[in-house]
Parts: sequence; structure tokens; C-alpha cells
Amino acid sequence: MKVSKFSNLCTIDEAYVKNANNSIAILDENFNFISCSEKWACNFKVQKKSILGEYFFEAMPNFPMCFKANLIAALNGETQKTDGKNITLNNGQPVWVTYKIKPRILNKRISGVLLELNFVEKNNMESLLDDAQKVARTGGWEVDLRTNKVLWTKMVNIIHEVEPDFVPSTYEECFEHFKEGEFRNKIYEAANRAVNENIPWDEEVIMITAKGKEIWIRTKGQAEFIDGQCVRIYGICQDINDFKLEQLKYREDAEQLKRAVTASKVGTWECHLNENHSVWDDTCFELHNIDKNNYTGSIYENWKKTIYPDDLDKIKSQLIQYYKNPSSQSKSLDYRIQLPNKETRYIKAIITFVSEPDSSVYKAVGICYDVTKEKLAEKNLKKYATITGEQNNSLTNFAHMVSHDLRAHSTNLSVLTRLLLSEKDDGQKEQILTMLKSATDSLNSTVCNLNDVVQSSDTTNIENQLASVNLLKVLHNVKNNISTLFHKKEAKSIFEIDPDLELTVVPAYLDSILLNLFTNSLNYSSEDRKPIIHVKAKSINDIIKIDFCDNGKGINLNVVGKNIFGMNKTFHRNKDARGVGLYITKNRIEAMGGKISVTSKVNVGTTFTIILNK
Amino acid sequence: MNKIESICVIDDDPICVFGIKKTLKKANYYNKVLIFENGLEAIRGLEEYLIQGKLLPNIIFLDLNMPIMDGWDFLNDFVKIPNYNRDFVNIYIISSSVDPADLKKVEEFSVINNYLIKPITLEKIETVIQEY
Repeated sequence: MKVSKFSNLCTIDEAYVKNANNSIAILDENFNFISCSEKWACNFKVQKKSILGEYFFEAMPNFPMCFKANLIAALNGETQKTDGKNITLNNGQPVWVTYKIKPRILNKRISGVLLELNFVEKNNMESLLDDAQKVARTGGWEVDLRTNKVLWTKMVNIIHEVEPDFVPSTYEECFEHFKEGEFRNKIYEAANRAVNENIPWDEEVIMITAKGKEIWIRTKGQAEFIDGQCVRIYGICQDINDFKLEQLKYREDAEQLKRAVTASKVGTWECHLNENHSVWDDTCFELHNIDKNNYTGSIYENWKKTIYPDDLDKIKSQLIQYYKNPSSQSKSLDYRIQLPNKETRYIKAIITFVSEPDSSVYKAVGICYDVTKEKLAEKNLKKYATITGEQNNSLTNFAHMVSHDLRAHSTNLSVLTRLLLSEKDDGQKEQILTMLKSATDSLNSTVCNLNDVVQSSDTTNIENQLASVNLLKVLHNVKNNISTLFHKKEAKSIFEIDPDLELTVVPAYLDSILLNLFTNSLNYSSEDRKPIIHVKAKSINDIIKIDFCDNGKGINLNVVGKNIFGMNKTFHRNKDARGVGLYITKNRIEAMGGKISVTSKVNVGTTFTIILNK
Repeated sequence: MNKIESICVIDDDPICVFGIKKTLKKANYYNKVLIFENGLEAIRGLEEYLIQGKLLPNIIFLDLNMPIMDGWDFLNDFVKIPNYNRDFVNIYIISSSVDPADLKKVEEFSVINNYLIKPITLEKIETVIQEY
């Protein structure tokens, strides 16, 4: 029955099929061979007659079953085409083919299919694919979900460091090489999504090779569906370990750098001078106390606003100078900014101009950081250096004064005693003895003065002795203490002082300072007029300014100017002037953080101005 | 010895002046001794002296540390006094100061003959007289 039907049809197509240059076969609607070209028979190494009338998949046992779907579709009138498919010949040789399946129409009715195979130059193609896989370190894989058969290309085995012919035997085994935990779960879920929802995946994960090595791979996969049923999943597996490690290392380095920069509180910035456009990092904004999410205008304008006006003028001219004389060397700028809490922050900015020779791009880049601590330490250090210098100076002065004054007295004593011993005349002896007495008195008074100087130089523990006193009360007290001298000189005093004015001072110091100024004014009063001492005090912010004026002889400051507060300078003929009074006065005022200055006009009077803290 | 007609002492310390006067006598100097208490007095006194047509003293003992006008200022003014016999005046600084700064300053004044540290002993006086 079969044969007779075949022979009928055969006659119609015989000429065409026989003479065909490629592999052609004709199947009936049950996919039994009706005819095939000599080429087909030759390629599949079959006797032409032996397959005629046979069921296609029995005659061609190595054709994949998925081919059946194509045959059915052709039978339904849809021509099927492929660009390439791997099939196995009957002798077991795999080949790459392209094929076309057309419906065969007889008497306006589809009575079978026409099959046309083209063998592709498979050897070249395969070796190229192999090479490409090696270069890309990328392998392909598939899992046939109906048979649970797994297929790996050689490269997959190489990446997995397993025997070349190894393949997982179950679906579950396909996931075992992914690192347990996060990575394995991720791929397991991705595969499930592909199978159930047809969602492809592309992930970078760690796997553990058969030799126990941990490597990074990229895995991509997708599913193939036939009649709404997932029949297989397939994809690639790529060794990206070297690349990934580099990438991770870079990321870690970048992260580390970022952490270091953040921790060091160094801000980085960049300014494109052509476009007048700046870029700041977060630290820069923080350092300048500008809210990076909430500012208006350009960064440059905001930056200028934060800076102390004095400093801005200074650094502007510095910047212009740097700009005009560009060099590859970094320049630095120091400036202060005012914080909302009225505190000052000192900032150091390092700036480098960068120009790219082949373009007009000109920009400044740099860093900035907080140097408040260093600046304050430097200031303190300078202050201490000044104090030390001053103290050293006064120590030297003191040493010379001691040497001079004591030597003067000791010399006198030795001269007088020698003269006394050699003197015969009683009257002369008496005179020498009187001088001896005055010399010893002077020595005594000098030693007392030296003692005062030593005490006034000792400014330790000043803080603990500070107390608040009423200036007017202190003035009256001091005046009362020298009332005898006051009456003798017929002096007058005018105190123009707020009765509530308080000063923070060492009380004993203030007493001695005022006493010294009073006695000076009285001792150096003019012979032509009665002394008038006028004391005024004014409160200015945190300080109090006291003017102590007299109408005395005055001092020619052009002559004694800088020495007036020095040691052992006496400017008047008064014999009791030992020249340490003003020195001690100045020392004590400065010890309390104050200042003293003097103006004077000969024969008009002298004004001492004292500044003290409230 | 006879060449020295007058000696001038400028010092504010009476004891020191007394000592120098006594010592001069011991050195057998009995001619004139002029005494001034400070630089200003000395300048004024010497100017007065010149107005009277007298010569400047042959030897001046000058203290440094004095009120009103000290020894340095005296020297500044002294070199300006117009006088034909100023070159015949020997000036000796007498001081208790051993401050190196003072010794250095002495070198700035060519008119100074020497720097004598107090006390002014007989030996020192005799040397000064011999040097003249």
C-alpha cells in the first residue's frame, strides 16, 4: 500500500529530485520518505531505496526531536527556515546545516513536505567558534528540561576545571559549582524565573572550581518555550575573574581614597577659568560652612562671602599675581572665614593652574583644609616668644641694673672706708662717716627697690589674684594714704569717674600703680603752679581707659621717649627718684593684661593713659 | 704734671666725687677741680667758662649714668662746642657699669681716651696724669 502510493507520486517529482545538486527529500503527511536526492543519500550514507517509505525519525535517528515542530509547521502551510543547526549524521559525525522546509502542494492541497538541507563548511566554523570561546573564555551550555540532559562546550569544562567530558547529570547539579549562599541562591532563583516566567538573566557571581579555586564568572541564560512549555534553558558562562578582581581592587582603592580624603578633612576643588565654573567636594562645602544643597549664585560668589573682608582683598591680589605668573608649582593661600557662632576658622588652600597645551582649557585645581589649630598654636607660640623675649630683655636689664647699682654702692663703700682709714683729721673723718651712712642707706634702698622689681616681674598666678574693685574708691584710698604730701604741695585732685565703675585687677597692683602715678605727679610738680591731678575713666567695650593728667614739669619725650618705662632712668633732679617706679608700674599693668602709654609737654604737664580689662 | 691746669669731674654721686678729689690730692694734684652733677650742668658750665675766656679743662672724668643729661648726651653736645683747645682735652669715662653695650659704645666716640671702671684708685689717677 505504502509502496504503491509512493511509486505514484515518485514519477511526478523524480526528475526534479534526482537532478538536484543539494540534499533534498520529500516526505508525506506522516513524515515518511517519498523520495530523496542522491546527494541526501550520499550525505547520510543510506541506500536510496532502503529509506523510501520509512518514517523520517527512524531513518534519521540522530535528528533532534525538536525538528518535528518544524515539520508540523510546514505541514500547516508555514515555510520553515534556519540559519544553522547542529545535527549528527547516521555515522555519528556532527555537522552544521541550514535547512528549508516547504509544504508540498498537490492538487491544491498540502500532501507532504519538501526538505532542503545545505551543509555548511562546518570544520572552519567550529574551529573558529572554539578559538573565539578560548579567547573570550566564554563557554556555552544548555539543559534540556524534558530529558534533563545537560550540554557543555569545552570551555565550560575548562572554566570549571573538570574533566573534558564531564557534564552534570541532574538539574540540581548544575548549580552546585556556584558558591554556596548568596551566589548560588541568586542563580537558582534566576534560573527559576527563566523557566517559569521566561525572564533571562545576566549576573556576575563567584563559583568554586573542581580544584577548589574561587573565581568570578559571568553567567547569562534564557529559556526556550514550545507550546507554552519551557523545553530548555541555555546560555553562556564567562570567566571574568581577572577583570573582576581588577575592578574590585580599583573600587576598593577608590573607596579607600575617598575614606582617607573624608577622614583627613581635606576638601578638593576645581575651577574652570574659561567658563568661570567651579566644582567642590562635600568637604569643601563643609569647611566653608556652605549648605551644598541650599545656596544661590555661583560657588565662587558664595566662597567670597564667607571670607573675612581683609583677607579677601589680600588673597585676591595674591590670586591675580599667581594667575599672571603661572607656573606648575603649587601656590598657597591662607584666609579666615567667619562661622555663624562668631568663631574664626583658618583655611589653607593649595592651588595649581593647569592648562592643556592643545586647547584653550585653563583651570585651577587644588585642595583646602582647616588649619585653625595650627594657626592658634602658632599665635600662642609667637605670644610666648614675645613674652619670653621681653622677659629675657628685662632680665638682662635687671642684671645690668643690679650690677651697676650694687657696684656703685660697693665701690663707694670701699672708697670711703679706705679714705677713713688713711684720714688723720677728725673733722674730715666725721665727714667721711656721714657719707658712709648715706652710702649704706642708699644701698639699703636699692636692695628694697630690687626686691620690688623682682616681685613685679613674677607674674605667675596672676589669674588667681584678680578681683573686681571700684576704681573711685581705690583712688580715694590711695589719695588718703599720701594726704601729708598732698597737703604739703597744696595739691588738688579732680576725679571724673562713674561711681559704679568696676575693674578686674590685682588690688595690690592697682594700689601701687596709682600710688606711683600720684607721687610722680606731686614730686615733679611745677614750681610755678599748684599741682592739679585730673583722673578720667571711660568704659569702651570690654576695656576701661584711664587718663591720669597732671600740670607738672612735663618730660621731654623726644629725649627720653623709649626709656621712660625703663629701669634706673631718672629724668629729674629729685634725689629720691630711683627710676624704677614707672618700670614696676608698667610691669604690673602688663601682668594684668593692660597697657600704659604717656604723652607730655615740658612745663605743661604729663598724661599717663592706662588701659585695663573690665 | 704742671701742664695740667684744671681737671673736671662730671658725676651725680657725691661720694664718688669726694673720693676722686681726695685721690687727686694724694697724687699731688693741687690745681683746679671743676665739679658738675650732670651732663647739662657740665655743658652749661663749660660754655660759661669759655665765655669768660678761659680754656677747657685738660682732663674730664665723665660718669655715664646721670639724671637730666647722661654721659652720652654730654659727649654729643661737647663735640659741638667750638673751641680751639678741645683737642687738648683728655676724656675718661668713669662708671660702675660693666655692661658690654656701654664698652662698645665707647668705641663710637673718638674723643674718649679710655674707660675706667669705678673705683677710681690712686694708680688709675696717676696713669691718667702721666698720659697727659
